[in-house]
Amino acid sequence: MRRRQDVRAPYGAQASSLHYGPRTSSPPGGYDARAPSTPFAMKHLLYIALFVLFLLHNDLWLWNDECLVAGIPSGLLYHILYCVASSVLMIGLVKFAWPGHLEVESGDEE
Amino acid sequence: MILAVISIYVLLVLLIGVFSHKLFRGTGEDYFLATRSIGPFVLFMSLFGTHMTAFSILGASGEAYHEGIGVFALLASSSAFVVPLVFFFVGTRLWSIGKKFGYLTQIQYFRERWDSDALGLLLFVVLNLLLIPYLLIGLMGGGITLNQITGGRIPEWVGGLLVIAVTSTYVIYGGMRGTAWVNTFQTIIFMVCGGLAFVVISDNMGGFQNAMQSIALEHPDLLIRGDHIRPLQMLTSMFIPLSVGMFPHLFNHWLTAKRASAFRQTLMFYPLAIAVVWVPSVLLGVMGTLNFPGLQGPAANSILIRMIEMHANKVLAGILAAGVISSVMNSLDSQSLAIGSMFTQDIVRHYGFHDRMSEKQQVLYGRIFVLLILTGTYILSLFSGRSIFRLGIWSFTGFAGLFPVVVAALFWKRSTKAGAFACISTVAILWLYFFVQAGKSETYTIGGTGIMPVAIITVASAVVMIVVSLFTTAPESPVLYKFFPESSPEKTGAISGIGEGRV
Repeated sequence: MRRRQDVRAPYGAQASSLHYGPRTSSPPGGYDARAPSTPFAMKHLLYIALFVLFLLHNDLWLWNDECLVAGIPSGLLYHILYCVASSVLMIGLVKFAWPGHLEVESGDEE
Repeated sequence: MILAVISIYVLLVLLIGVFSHKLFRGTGEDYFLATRSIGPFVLFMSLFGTHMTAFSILGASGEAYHEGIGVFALLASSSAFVVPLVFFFVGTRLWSIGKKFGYLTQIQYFRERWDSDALGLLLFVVLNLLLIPYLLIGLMGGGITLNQITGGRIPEWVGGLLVIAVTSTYVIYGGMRGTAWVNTFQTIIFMVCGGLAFVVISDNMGGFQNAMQSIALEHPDLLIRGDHIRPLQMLTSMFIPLSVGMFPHLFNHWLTAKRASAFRQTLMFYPLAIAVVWVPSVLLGVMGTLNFPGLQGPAANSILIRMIEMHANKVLAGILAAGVISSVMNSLDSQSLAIGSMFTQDIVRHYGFHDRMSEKQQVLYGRIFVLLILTGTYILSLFSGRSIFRLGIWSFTGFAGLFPVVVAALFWKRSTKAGAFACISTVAILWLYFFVQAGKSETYTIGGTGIMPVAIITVASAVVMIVVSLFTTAPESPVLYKFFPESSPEKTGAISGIGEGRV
């Protein structure tokens, strides 16, 4: 397996087009998912969260729950909150796992 | 009065389409993709508006009328989870490839990715056939809305015709830029109108909580999933939103993005936007059982409009009906544009007819093809007695079944054109089989188990793609290097000095 640090320094100019090179400015959105300071663990944590959220869609425990919360059936409220959780997950993915290399590949780097 | 409000709305839509034409640059890329210049806000609104159809407004409320609140879990929250992920992992990459190689349609990409004209032709046929039920629900939705809201003064066939006429006008005149702008306007209208309809109707029914208490007494089964939905149905419902990865009209919208970062807002807010649209639709469908009990089958398609007509004053009813029509036209326009784009690029230009005809003639034939498809669909809509929800589900099933095609194209270098052929053929055969079976039983699960056909079709097409690819000759290097440049000898050598071209 290649180590990213090994590649970055000696091949700066060439590697730039291959998305490993040092950046002189922040990529679009201001966060570089490939920078050395990237919380690598955070990205993987998000993928685990993604799997957990997938499982949580199957709320069998509320299947026959007739309780109303402010008029909203609990089974519906749960899934409204599920949408909010999905949004939070997407914010995390956009912040910490954004495929910044795509801008470079398409020749549209800022 | 209702008709006057709807007429003003239609006029506004046409004006936006006409105004967008002023910026037309006279090129194919501008007509079909607005020169890839769309920023984050319009991208979000046009993608979301295109995705939300009569299915989400009329279909969801009609299905909730019969099956209760479980409809939200089945299709809305599953979409809130899956759709942004597909945009994130697939949409952004297709945007990048589309921009790099100047693609205007997804068929152009798949054809070059597997170096096969026949594959492009097969996809052209399959994608267009799968779009027909999707177009159908738009036409039915437009007809039902205008018929119901005018107390039957406008027959459904006139309503459907009017929707086609308005949509075709601004699509033909404004192209993608006009479509994106109109979509943005329409998305704002139907999101605001959905909330407004919910507030007004709830208030008129003595308050939301009172209405729900009444349902708890009269139809408690609609406030739980109970026997309406099976656990395996919930699990396999996650496959349906995968369809967005293969919608030709969403592919076109992805390509309009100015840069990859324009996707960010869309990804983050998409799940919330889905909830904003679906919650009122589902709740109003359930509340409709109090005012209009006993509707059978497809008759519930119009429950939302019936509720609006009953509880809102004429002006408001006109505005709310315009909101529903917005959701209908929002998708119909992009689908029409995608069909025209595929015909012009993948048939006329690709097969060399462009040598024999001018640019104007090519566009003309593209438009004629769109009108032919719309006319055929319109005729079908006059005889279709099916539920909007069921028709939508079958269209999504086919597109979701094709999802392994795009995943293999983007992420699996070893995938072959034989694998892609087998995968698409598997989808076509299984889709037809399950569709005919469902026609006999009127259900969308296999043998009453709760397992949706979409799960079987998608898994089967993925397995076939893998097995056939592994048993056929690996793709040629030049094609691979084009789409996976990191595996080309120069690139791998430049970095590590060691050829790491994994295939």
